[in-house]
Amino acid sequence: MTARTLACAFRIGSRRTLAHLAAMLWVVGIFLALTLSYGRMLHALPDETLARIGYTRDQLVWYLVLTETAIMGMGFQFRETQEDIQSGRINIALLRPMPFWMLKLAEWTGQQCVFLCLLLPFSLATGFAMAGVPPLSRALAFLPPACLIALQTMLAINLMIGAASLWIGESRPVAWLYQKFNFLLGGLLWPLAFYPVWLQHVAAATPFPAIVAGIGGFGLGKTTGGAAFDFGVQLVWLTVVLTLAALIGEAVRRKISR
Amino acid sequence: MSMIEVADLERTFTRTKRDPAVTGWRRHFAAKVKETHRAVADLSFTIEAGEKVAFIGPNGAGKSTTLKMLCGILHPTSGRAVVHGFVPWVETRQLAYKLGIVFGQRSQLWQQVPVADSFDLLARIYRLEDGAYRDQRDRLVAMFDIAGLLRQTPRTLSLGQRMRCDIVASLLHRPSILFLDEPTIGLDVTAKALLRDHLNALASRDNTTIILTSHDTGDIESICDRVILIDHGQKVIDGTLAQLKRDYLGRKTIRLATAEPSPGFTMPGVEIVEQGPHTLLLSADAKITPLDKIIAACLAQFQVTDLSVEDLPLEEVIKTIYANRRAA
Repeated sequence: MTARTLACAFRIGSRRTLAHLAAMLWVVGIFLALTLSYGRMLHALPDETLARIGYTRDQLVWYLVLTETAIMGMGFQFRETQEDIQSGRINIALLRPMPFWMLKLAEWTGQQCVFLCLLLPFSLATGFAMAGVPPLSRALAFLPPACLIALQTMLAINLMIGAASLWIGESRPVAWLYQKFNFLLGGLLWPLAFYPVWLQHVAAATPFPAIVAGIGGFGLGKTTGGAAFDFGVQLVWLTVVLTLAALIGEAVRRKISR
Repeated sequence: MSMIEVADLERTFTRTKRDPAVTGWRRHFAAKVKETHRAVADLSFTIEAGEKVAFIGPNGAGKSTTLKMLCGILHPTSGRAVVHGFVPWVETRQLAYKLGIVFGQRSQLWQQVPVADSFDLLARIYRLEDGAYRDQRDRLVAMFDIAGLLRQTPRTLSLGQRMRCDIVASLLHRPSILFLDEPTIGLDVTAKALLRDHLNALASRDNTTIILTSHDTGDIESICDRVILIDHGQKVIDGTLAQLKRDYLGRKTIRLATAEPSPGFTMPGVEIVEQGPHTLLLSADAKITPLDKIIAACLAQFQVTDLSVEDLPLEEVIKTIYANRRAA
């Protein structure tokens, strides 16, 4: 029954995206502008830099396209939870016989899956136009489930950021930090191999590479073994983040009721 | 068995605030002082199945706090409450299947999708069997006349239409108790009347217990048969509407149409409220002079073409109670 409920919430989420198709196309436009301009910048990288890190320009362009797709396709839903808390609508959600955080995650997953499906053709077309055929291997079989896991991790973090408004009044500072960490520790534009070793270690201790670099790595020609390892890491982070989301969901209930 | 039993319920809130004596930029560094506010105190009452109870009081009286405790959103500081056999703040999930809740100012529908989709999701959340859900939905859709609204999103509906959809959403799982918090707020006269009729039809058909909080005395008079009035978190009055009017006012309004062009009238306990050509509006205190004597005197004094005796509006009753309490 819970699976059917979550499937229904997923469907509602997907209809929400379809209801705002025009706005979604704007996001696609921004994605195109960003990837095309950053892609041009990557083409200007000196050969010696490329030789040092061991990637070609085309691989870096595919990395960029995939990480941007992950970031833009997975959205920033924390505002919705913050609004629910600030408007008191959270009370209604808390009175339902199902944890609100589960329903929210299912709904957002539906929303973002549809958007990812919309974004993907544009993303692939951009990659082809700028860097030709991507590095093909069996590892690509891990890409769809890896995207789904990254999406779930990102949405659960968004839920927690939104819930933070209950304690600190406003989630935006936390969301801002999250964006910066995604950019820096996730390896949004540049693979983590560009980073000093100590920063790579710091990044590895956070969930951000699992969300961003884990997807972008397919553009760099991941091996099947590497993809399987990364997928395992993603699963570990998803478990951690979902457990935290459940604990924070319970903390929200306690904070409101006491 | 009573549907709701409340005994010695109390809720205090603790707030911290900066010392108000310190002003300017120093205010941010001033020590914080704890302040305790008692929102509900020693509240006790019992509500039987099928009763329609208005829970009223001025702003800040503790109505919403009490309702939140009865739903399970808030824990009380002390006291006991049992709703449909469950302790609300302990067995919130189990109780959720028995409660329908409508907040007039907050919709429970998903705003960007058609109303029907919200109903489908709620049916899943409340684990309704497909057949039972469809029957109940169709019955409520017909009862609240919302068939034409199901394919629309809530944000495209008028406030009255949205409220009817919200009430249907809260009734899909056949709750035994319906909490209505300002359900007619912002509605026009026609929409209010329509909603009240629907709620009355529902209560008489399904024997649903209704707990209503509203500042609109029209809602209370049209829907409820019992009133619990609280002020400063304490119960002030608990009785039927008729009792309330009798005990706290005992006045009646007598409207007369006469053949005489400017009728005048004097009698102990009777005041002229309005005097017009061929009309007279009297306010009579039945405790001073019995009503039959006043009417007999009117009939003797005038050539009466029309006569009606009305209770004073509930609003006047409540105003009087608040005024008496303030004076006390």
